[in-house]
Amino acid sequence: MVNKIHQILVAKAATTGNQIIPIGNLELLLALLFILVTIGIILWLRLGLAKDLTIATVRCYGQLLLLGFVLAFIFTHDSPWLTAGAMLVMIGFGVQNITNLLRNSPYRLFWPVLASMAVTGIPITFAVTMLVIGVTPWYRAQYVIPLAGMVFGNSMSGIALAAERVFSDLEGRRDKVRLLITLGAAPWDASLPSIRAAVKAGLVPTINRTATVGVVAIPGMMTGQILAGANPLEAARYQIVIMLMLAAASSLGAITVALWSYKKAFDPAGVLR
Amino acid sequence: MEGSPLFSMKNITVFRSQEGKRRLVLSRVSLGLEPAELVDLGGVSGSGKSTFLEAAAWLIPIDEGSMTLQGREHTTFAPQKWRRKVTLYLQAPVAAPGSVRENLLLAWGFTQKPEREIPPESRLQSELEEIGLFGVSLKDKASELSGGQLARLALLRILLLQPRVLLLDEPDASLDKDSAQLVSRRIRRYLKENQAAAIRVRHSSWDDPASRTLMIRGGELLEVNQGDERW
Repeated sequence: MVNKIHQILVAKAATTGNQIIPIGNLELLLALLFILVTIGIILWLRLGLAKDLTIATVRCYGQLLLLGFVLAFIFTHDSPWLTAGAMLVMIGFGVQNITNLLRNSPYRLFWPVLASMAVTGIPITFAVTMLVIGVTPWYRAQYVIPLAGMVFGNSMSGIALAAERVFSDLEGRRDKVRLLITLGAAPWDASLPSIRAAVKAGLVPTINRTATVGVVAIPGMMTGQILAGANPLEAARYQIVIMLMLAAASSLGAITVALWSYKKAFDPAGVLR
Repeated sequence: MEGSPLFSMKNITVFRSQEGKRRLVLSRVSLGLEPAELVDLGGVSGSGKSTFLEAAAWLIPIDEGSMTLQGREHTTFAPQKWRRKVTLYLQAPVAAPGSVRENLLLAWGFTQKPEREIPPESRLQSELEEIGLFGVSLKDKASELSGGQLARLALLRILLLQPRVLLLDEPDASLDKDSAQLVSRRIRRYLKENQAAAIRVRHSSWDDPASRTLMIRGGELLEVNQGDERW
């Protein structure tokens, strides 16, 4: 059955050339029409968002075209240094994004966040590219960079959720934490319920997304592969690997950051600040 | 150590930061406690009674001065160990999640377990009754106890750890007169049997006056002589 589908697809690909249909410059500008209609509605309803949407649209064009150029450059000059450099840039932006989200926190979380991103993201990316997909050479940018981007993006959300939750939960349990401390609890003992809550907060969205993937919409990467002419069954295999990889990234990120940072809420004598 | 008191505080000074300002709360406070001694601590509200007890339990940073337990400096203890020997009874008792039993044995669930064995069920049940918690079962949910019951549960929880110094912040706050007497009596017996000492801040003082009464005023600790007017 599966083989038959595959044969049909292969035959079909041969007749259509299995090529992605390019979008020309004119067509790229045509897409602006949708935005212009939206801006019209915004102005008519006086939502005060016209400027924001205009800026967002310009940024969307600029950032994605720039990304395209950068990736094209990296792919054509395939080198381990460029791949490593791109990953560092991703980690940097991810860390900046998280610390920005946590800017109201009284604690300095830069190092725990950076460490959690690196310690979870890098091994997971290479576990997938080297062991599961078997990319050769190991640094091949066409595979490593898009996968690393997804991994870092997901560990970023897990880390941000967990880092926020561990401290807000400790604050909400302040009376109980204080009680435990008076009875001789170490910060670890007093924090354990909050660490659990934090890891849970990082995990729940991932579990939900993993459980419902493909039910309402075709996942982004699978969509891309299908548009690029890939066999949907091949694309599904990739998507399964990706989903599990992303689940690992966000949950390990959440666990790492919670364990790495909870102690910051305690003073040197082990009392909640 | 020969000649040294069970517990001492020497020239303890504590500042508290409030809205960016450093405020002196305790100024060169000194105190010595002998085994089986019970001391009452007074002072108007906001004078720093609770801060004093928190300092003794090493729950706030001590800016100057030193404390000793049986002649040993507090800095030579792990803070967690110190708190298990110089233990604070919190003014507003808190129920931890779970049963009465789980609440009483909370500390046995920590990484650093108490030195003594887990007390047997029969001992726990008789302790509950002795302190007036008749009809409370070890299996009851602690969160369903009344304020007065919870206060006594919190005291028992501390006594089971066998601290050398009890720091009691209004253990009678939510108790009626009879229960307050039971609690006073239990504390007295504990101090005698364990040769422990206690500093007590009282909500009201019907009876059972301590051997000494101290008072905090302007960050300083003053001795109140017998017969002085009550604070």
